[in-house]
Amino acid sequence: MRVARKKTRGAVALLAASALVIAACGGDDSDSGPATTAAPQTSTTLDQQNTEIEENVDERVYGGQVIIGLEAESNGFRPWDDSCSTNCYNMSAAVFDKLLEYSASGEYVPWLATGYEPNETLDEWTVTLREGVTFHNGKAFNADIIVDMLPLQREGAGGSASITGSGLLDIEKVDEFTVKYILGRGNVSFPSFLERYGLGMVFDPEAAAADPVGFDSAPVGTGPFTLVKRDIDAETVLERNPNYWGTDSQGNQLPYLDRLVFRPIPDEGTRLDSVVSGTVDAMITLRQGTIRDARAASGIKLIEFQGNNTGGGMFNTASPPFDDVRVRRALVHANNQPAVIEALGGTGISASATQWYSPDSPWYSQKVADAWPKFDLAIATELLTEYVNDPARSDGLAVGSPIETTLSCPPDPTLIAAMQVVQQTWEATGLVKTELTSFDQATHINMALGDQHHAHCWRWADEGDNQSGLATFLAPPELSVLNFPNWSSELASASFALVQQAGSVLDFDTRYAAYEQIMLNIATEVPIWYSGHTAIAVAVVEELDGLVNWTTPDSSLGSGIRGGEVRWIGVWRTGS
Amino acid sequence: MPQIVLSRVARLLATLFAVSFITFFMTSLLPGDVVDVILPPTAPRDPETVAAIRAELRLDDPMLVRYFGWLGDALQGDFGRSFVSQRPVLDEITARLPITIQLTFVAILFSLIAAVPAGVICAYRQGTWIDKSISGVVQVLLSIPAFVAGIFLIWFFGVKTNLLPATGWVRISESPWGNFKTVLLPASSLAFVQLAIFARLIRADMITTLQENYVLSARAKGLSDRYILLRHALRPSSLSLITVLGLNIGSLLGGTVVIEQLFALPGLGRRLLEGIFNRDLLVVQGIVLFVASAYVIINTLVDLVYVVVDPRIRRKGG
Repeated sequence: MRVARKKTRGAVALLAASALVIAACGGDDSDSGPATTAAPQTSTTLDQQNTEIEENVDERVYGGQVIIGLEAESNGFRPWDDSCSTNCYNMSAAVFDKLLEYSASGEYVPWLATGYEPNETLDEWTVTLREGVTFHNGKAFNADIIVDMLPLQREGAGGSASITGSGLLDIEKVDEFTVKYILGRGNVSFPSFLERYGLGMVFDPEAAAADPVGFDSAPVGTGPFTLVKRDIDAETVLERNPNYWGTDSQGNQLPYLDRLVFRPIPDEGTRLDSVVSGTVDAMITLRQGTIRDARAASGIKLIEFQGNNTGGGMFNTASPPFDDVRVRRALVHANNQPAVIEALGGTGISASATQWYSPDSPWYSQKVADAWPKFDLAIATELLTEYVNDPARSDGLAVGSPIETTLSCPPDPTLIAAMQVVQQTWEATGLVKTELTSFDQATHINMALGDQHHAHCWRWADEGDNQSGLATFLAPPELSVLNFPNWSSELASASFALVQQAGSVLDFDTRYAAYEQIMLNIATEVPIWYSGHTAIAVAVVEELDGLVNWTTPDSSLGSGIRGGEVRWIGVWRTGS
Repeated sequence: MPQIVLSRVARLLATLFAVSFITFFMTSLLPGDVVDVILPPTAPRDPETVAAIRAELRLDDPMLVRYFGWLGDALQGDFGRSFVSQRPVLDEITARLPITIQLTFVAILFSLIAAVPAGVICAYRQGTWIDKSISGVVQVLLSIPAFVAGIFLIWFFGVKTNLLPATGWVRISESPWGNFKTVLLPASSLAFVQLAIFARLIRADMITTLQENYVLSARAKGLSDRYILLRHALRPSSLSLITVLGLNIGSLLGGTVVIEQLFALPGLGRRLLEGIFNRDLLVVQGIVLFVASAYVIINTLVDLVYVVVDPRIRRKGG
């Protein structure tokens, strides 16, 4: 059994190019012993670095354990309350099933649901549920479960955030296996909420209500693994759920692995060393420097992902001189993206960003990429000269004197290095004085929420449907604290109208046109700037397979390791 | 003796009160708001929601009111709940304490096992190549920060030779052998600097002791060098060591933050770091108070050990 990792130039889109050729497997669902195969086959897909990953889909093996090194401990196993990021999703998606899943083609497809249908105004979504599913404690899953989850979700921080974001008002039981989500407004991106933690992950509401705090160490879901040990900050151990309802595309019982062990290893270097040494079998990193080191390491497989999420920053457009578009455009022209990416350790790893969508996203627009202001110090200097010599300059400083800015970023060494590059290139115009400041992450966020920022480093977009994020970002500042740059202008209003329009239609082309125009408007008035798309990688020992080519119950190809979220349900360990 | 104990206990209580107040005061001054940590970034931050959370956590009460409220609860064994995990702070501490204690004591044990013979040999062979060689190695160890030693040990024993796990922790109740393997590298990382300090102290004190008249007298009686070194010279040469030992055990209990982070150990230091990052003030307060208590108690015990070890102090009444 061989696992190859080789470079293929000229390959196109990430998962759309995948060729899934799977041989018929035997139906061995025992906990040990490999499944039999008809003929050697491989499944091939391409990661963002055009690296061809061949997986041995012909010899799926049952049994064994995988130890996974995570960046941090998961916030918890309380979907209605905890906030959830990459670490949390890796763990929780093994214990809980989501109603929907994200496919390689960018669609939300059924998982624990069997289908969904909106009404014409998109403010009622009828979801049909899978029959014959039981929780880890033996309780049956049905429509009552979804209805009974809602009061907890309303009270919990994570759940209530999703409820507000989605516009959810109520959930009605239609029949034993059908529910209707009733929204206060039409929301085309509602399915994306059924794929995330706050509303999408199904838990036993009775057990949760009985002991909301203790649920973290005794979560009850319907997922492929059950929790057997929760030693916070040390390790969380999950064991195979023998009664799991799911099968792979060949009808083989899922999951393949017997045990999953999650260990938080906060230090990036030792986490990678732990995989190289075999102390753990897999690790996930969101750091470009670690990806660079992992590329140089031997004896491991590296699967990279580069999605929509992008670094960069924002101008507080309510604060002079950033209220003047000439200044903003000048500073974006003075932003040397490759140099910033180099400071972040991402040269050759992260691509420069020009919009909220990566080149692999179906929403990506070349027109926007062409329109985004390019690095050009001459143009930057010209625009700044015009502003500083304007007697009516908005910052009230003397004509001809440089503008004064404060640029803030959390105290991460690489972020600070990147901001120093931004500072240097801004000041290279000779017309900008920039003071760097640094606050911890929570304070940094709080300053943005409270409009106490000037120029602020920030992240934009995520891997799901960005409709909701765009809507809150573009809403007038008096209505949305999440319009962090306080962008308000005719173009901003037009953009908000466009995002509202996009949110009320299902048609892809209409939505695409709206998002493209919004991104063009952002490129025109530049309330924000970008550095590079965030690179994410999963490094695993060579014996692990099945990370990329997992499929959903309707046989759609899944989204691989989108956002560093590995679907451990589909992973198996070959004999070493 | 009872007077000495009473005096030390009174000092201990006063110190703990001061430490708890200063910690509470300083953590209250930290910028940022725990509400931002509790609420997900996308959560609504309408004034009512924020006010409700602040009221629930008593964040709007004056600092002194909050402090004495917390102190009253703490005296009854209730250190509050983590703002973030919602678990009782006492549970957070007790779950992690055994790991930090074990790490600290194994590090001290390793360093003593190496430092005592090294210090004694250096003193006995003062000025010879053996003394110079060992002193040179000790000097090098003294200049290596624990985290650098840790990175090297992970690289050599974890990655290169694959002899020991690079990261992780196995509780002693689960597997004593597994526990030993996981404590070896982090404890060794911490032990290097301690070893160097202890070895230099013992060497210096032993050199002085070996020049005392009673040692010369013992030699004149024809007692063996080994007997003189271990029975007559080592004990009076240990007073400085005991002092530094007490100080270092206390500081190691709170100073394992970097090593616990590097080796992914679920100890108190790592939880303290998380608490600071998350503005989890009750957790920070609880751990700092606990470490301060341990520090003061250990050093009070060290003071009492002096009385046992050195009859002169006992006679002077402390």
